[in-house]
Amino acid sequence: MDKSTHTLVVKSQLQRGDFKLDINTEFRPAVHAIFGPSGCGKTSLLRIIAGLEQSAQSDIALGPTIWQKGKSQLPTHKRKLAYVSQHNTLLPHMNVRANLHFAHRYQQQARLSVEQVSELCGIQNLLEHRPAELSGGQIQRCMLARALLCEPELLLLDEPFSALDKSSKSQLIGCLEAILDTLSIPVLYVSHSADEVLRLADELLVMNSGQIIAQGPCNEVLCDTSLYFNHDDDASALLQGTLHTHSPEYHLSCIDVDGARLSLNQIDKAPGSKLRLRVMARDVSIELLDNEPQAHENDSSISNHIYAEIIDICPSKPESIVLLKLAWGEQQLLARITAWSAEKLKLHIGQQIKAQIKSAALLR
Amino acid sequence: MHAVDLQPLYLSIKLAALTSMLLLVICIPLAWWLVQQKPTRQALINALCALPLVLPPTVIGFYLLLLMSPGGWLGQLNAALGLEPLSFSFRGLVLASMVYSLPFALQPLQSAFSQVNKAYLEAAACMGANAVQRFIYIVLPLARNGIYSALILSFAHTMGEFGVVLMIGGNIDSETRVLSIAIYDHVEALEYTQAALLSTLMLVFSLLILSLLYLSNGRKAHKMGSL
Repeated sequence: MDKSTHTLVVKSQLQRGDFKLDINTEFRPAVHAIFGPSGCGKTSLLRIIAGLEQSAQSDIALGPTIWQKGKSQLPTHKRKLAYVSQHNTLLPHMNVRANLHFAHRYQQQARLSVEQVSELCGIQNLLEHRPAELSGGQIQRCMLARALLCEPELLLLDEPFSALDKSSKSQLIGCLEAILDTLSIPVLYVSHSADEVLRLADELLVMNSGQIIAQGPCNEVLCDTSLYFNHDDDASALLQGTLHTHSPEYHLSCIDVDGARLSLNQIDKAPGSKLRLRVMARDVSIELLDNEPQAHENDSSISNHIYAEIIDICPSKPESIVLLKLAWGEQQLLARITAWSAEKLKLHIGQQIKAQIKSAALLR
Repeated sequence: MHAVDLQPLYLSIKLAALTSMLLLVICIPLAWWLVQQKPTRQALINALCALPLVLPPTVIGFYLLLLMSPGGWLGQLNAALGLEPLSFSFRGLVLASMVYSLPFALQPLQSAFSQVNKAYLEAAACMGANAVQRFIYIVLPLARNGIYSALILSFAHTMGEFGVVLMIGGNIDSETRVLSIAIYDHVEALEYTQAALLSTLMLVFSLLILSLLYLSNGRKAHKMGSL
């Protein structure tokens, strides 16, 4: 996209009763998932960036444009942003078309038309309806469409799908995925759902009681053994793979992940497609390398074995568990195994092992 | 039977219509400003604006008379502008009615404005609409029912005004003799037929205009609700 894209720089402090928010970070043009327990300040952060939180002491700039310096603020309506929340904020006294035109009329140079965006979001047949006539999923589609018509240089998404049922949620995520692929602006995406986040995000920012406790590329944060939540039972890591071949007779697809081959239920994509897989740490088990020749190498393509190096071993919780960090090529993976088997196998950092992946979920 | 002079009815309607329109013009911005103030300031100003509700019309009339007299500051301002004296004039009546009916316009507006969901305004700000545009395109349409109520109530209240008019308007034909005064005069003169006729006219007219306004208001509310 030829439109110039900018990095968002945020330095902000907010004190409200016991709650203290203290943020100092940057968001490059990419999809940033903001993750953390309720009340940790995720929504406050988005509202501060949008200029809706008056009491914050902040320095905010999007590229060369200063949005806030101390107490002096650029009013919200002059900030080139779009905000989608979980609440229905479609204007109730207008139909969908009028709602979209409302967003459209305030843009100086509109590149997208209401018709284009309606098609992109699949709401062409809803345009004459009032918001009160729409379902939750339809409302969120219209809100996405409206956000796109704002031609934002920054997109803020505050749990946009949290009120939806599972099937409309996954449809909408697909829609959003396609949209985000066309944008090259910073996108801040607040969510509670790991599936949602890991499917869409390039970078992960983790907050706790008003502070950033981790920020970086998704898998780097997910495999950071110093972070408490990576010791939960549902800890996971992402693998970036390429679709290698299909084997229709077994209804399987073979995926290449930096030299390792994984088999998954048949995927409806062409060979060569980039894929993102999620592997739960509890679904990874470790075997020692036997010294037999690599004659069985072909077998491993079907049995989902990966040859990797142990780069970290960490006591975890409960005490019976240890967390291993494995690496090969560009990939990193976590494995949760019992401390007992780790000791029995005499695992140590730097050791080459064979990891078996019991299951992997295709995210995109 | 004497012919009934309809001039007072016409005057009452003119007074009520003018008063309620002018009150809307003043109270819409005032109410919007008020709902955004801190609770303590809001309470103080509300108390001041609600005074006409509790004060006897004669008290309001008395103070207004003092203010509008050539020595009062309203009278002086009026003279400085080179205008006809306020007391015992139609303009004076409009001014007095506005004070007298102010709470009936202000309170429905205030309650309607305070019910407009802030999230809509924030969403509109994110879309690039400035404060004035947000007010015109979102607050006013969403507070429509409150605006109707303000109009109906201040109109009806002004139609029934008596004490204040008596205090500051006197009883000048075609100028300040409104319907309620004319009826009072007829009764004083024992002209019960004329009094009854004017009273019936007032009753029918009030019922008619209120029904019309409530009907249009109710139909719109129903339409909004069913959608």
